[in-house]
Amino acid sequence: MTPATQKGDLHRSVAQTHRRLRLLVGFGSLLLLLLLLRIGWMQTIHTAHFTALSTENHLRQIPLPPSRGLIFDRHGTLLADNSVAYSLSLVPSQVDDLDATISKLRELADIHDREVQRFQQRGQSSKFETTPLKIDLSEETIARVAVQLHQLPSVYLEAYAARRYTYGESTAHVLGHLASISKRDRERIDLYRYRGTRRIGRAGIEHQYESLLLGTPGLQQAEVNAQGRSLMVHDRKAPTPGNNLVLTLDADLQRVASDAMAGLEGAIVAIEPSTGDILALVSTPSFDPDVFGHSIDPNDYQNLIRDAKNPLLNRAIQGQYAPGSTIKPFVALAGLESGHAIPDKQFFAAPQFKIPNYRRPFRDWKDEGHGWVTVSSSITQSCDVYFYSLAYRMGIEALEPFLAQFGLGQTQQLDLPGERPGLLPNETWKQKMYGQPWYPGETVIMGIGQGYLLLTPLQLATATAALATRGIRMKPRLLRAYEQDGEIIENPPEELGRVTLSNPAWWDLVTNAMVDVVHAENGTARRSGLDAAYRIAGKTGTAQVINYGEKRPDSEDLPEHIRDHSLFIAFAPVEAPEIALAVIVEHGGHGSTMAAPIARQVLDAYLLRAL
Amino acid sequence: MAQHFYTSAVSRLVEPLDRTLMALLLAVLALSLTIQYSANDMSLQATQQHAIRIGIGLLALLAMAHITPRHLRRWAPALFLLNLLLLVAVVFYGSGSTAQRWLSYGPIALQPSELLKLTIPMIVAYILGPSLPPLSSLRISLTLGLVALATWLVAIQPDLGTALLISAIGVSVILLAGVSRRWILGLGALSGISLPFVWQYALREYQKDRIRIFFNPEADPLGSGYNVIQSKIAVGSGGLSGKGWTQSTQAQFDFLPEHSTDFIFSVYAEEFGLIGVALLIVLYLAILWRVVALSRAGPDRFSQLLIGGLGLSLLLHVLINIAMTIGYAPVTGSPLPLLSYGGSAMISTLAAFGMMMAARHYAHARHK
Repeated sequence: MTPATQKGDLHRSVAQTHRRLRLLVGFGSLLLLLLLLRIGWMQTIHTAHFTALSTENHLRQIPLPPSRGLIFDRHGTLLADNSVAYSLSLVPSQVDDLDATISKLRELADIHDREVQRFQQRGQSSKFETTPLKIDLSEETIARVAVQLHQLPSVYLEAYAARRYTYGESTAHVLGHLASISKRDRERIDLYRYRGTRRIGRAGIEHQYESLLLGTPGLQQAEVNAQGRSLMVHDRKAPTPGNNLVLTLDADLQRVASDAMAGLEGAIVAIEPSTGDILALVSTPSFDPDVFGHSIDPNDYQNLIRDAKNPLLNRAIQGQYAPGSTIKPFVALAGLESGHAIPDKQFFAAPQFKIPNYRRPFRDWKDEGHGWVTVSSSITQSCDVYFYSLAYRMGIEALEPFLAQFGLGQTQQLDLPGERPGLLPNETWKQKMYGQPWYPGETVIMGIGQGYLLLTPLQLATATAALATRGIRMKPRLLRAYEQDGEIIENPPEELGRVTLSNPAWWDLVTNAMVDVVHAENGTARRSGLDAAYRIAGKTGTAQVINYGEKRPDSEDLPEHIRDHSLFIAFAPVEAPEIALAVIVEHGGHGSTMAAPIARQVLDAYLLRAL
Repeated sequence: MAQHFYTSAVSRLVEPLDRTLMALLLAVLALSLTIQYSANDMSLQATQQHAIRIGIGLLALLAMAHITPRHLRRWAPALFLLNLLLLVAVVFYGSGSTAQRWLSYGPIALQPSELLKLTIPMIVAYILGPSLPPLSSLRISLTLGLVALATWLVAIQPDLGTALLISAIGVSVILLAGVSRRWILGLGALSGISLPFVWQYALREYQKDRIRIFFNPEADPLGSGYNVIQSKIAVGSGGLSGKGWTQSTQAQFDFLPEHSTDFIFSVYAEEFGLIGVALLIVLYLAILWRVVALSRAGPDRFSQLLIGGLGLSLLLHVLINIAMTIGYAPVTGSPLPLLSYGGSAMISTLAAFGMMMAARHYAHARHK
């Protein structure tokens, strides 16, 4: 090959290479222009679509949960309050390694296995929302987490409103508590109103007046970044807070009443007779309402459910008890109205009462019998035989309808969920329930408040209030008023009905007998009436838990769980009653020894402000 | 007298530079600084960092522009070997968050795979340059073998995207040098046959996911498909004239990941719209065709293949990156030349332009 041809070859190959390069770059340029075309299409014809997606990306409608209405007692004492608490929350979808993050968080905060489980369950349905892992962090934990937060992407310390109950256990049954919104709740509530809200009233007033307390959520349109952090607020519609409630409850009285019941099982219901205002409503044992919101250990809730003493039961409205002798004033009125009891008519009360064809006699609590008594002194001394006889003569047909007029065996329409009706038996009920006729002996024992008859403490209290008002039955109420837009809206007292007697003097007769129960020499509760600065009308009751038949041992010698229930009903001052109440102490023995002194304490507290 | 001396020193210094190409490059670099300021949340510090890298890159360009093709050719094997050694070092001492790609020495972090984008065209031009077509099978096989070796070293980091780019650059320079149809068909058939085996045995699961997602990004909108979806939203919502400088909501609110590096184009398109995109693409095309014009100059085949190879490398990068931002190429993690944030790529790209200018200047000068 000569240098000349070599040079020619080189030239040719350089030209060839250049052609190839132009071809390749030309092809590439064409592709680049096609990309430009495609981008042009995206940015012109289709730009609206992408703009919408972009806006949706960074403009977020964030619901602003309203603050829940506060709850006050009748004197303006705060019973339920909102305070700021912090939760440790994550957005599950934004965390790369959830398990690693959780175990890292568990080093910083005391997180229970159950809380992790709950988080994982919740996290399934709300992958893209902040989901709390642990709520109600201690200040120490907040500090510890806050320092580490920058190393924990998508982990948030979230502030939320926590419900605090000033009086804790004392008001737990009345106020109820809040709980996480369940699947069942979701089906019946207006989800729009619950946007941003995580908790719902589960029991008590919190449940009863949920719609008043809740409020209306606001809305905030904000710019958010990919982590969901709000950067700039564009538009804000403030939430409307829930309405504040004013209850009829007297917080101090409530506390005195629950203190008096400390360590006991039972209930106290105190009512203002003229209005039906519930002044105190206590059920013991109670529970710490914080267990439902801010528990450190989720086992606490399990313990509550498993507790044999059933602290979650509101005995005041759900406990159903034989009233024992506290029924006697009402039976006496029934007798007077039906003409079977005649004032001042003497009656010889033997140690026992017998009816034809009954082998077994009905014994009086007083072994030697009461001797000569009247209807009044039978109430004062709590003579069983007189009331056996009276009930027997009246028969269930007369007794049951009269007692029903006092609302016994019916719910009292109290504004608290879960009220039970008790039981006022009659022939129809017996037939339906047992397929048996009503036996006269069953009327006899109903005369002293035993047998099928079951009343709630609330019923006893409202019936007692009706004695105080001489027959006017006011509907018991817990809500006195609520505050809406700064205006107080009253919940007016409501009359449920009236018990009318042919002779109104019979009210005085029974009331005086009840005054004697507390203030007379021979009254069963005389020890509780000592040195009273006002006059009390009361009646003791001792309800048998077990039927011993003919031979009845003294209850106070028995082991506690089969010991009699101790009851007391009262109203005071007799001249112008301001308070009526019913006290029940389960297995407390005689009404005069347990329930009556407690009632006296509550009456003193209310009437003398001896708090 | 002295002034004349300085003037002539400066003019000697800038003499090898191609005025047209320099003007075009500076225009793109100006856009780069502008968009990086916005993509880095208006951080002056980050922008300054970017400016410093551009400065270093321009110095590298100037330095490379003074290295004659003869020297370059002499050093080509050594540089390539050094590059391979660095890649091996990465395997043992490398760092990086998901894959080992970096070599760190004090404050300096080097990505050896970026250097390959210079040394691959050099070594291919070195081997195939001196002989005229038809090229011997030995030379072609040797070249292919070296390209494959480099590709493999990058692929095991693992950095599949860069590995594919490296092999594409290598193959395109070989094509440029001129190979017979037999070779082209043979290579095509070989890669066609090996594809299923590569899928089955060579790819890791996340790499397969990337490819699956490329075909169906909506299948996992919050996982691997997220980047592409967000990038398309950014590009599409830019509209005709864009949302305006620093007004990218996709980048500012972090919806678009890697928005200062791999997806810088999306931010640019969102802020400057179709008009801005057209301007940028026209600038890239002008640069490319200027490079094509430069390659024409020399009868020196080494210089020509080097210029052409570097130019094709630039083209591939631009194409793949822009295609990726609108879902037309898998998300591979390759930067957009001159625009993306990152030192190694910026410096090696500008150095490549220095090499191209030198190749042309001295080839030209010699033949004058």
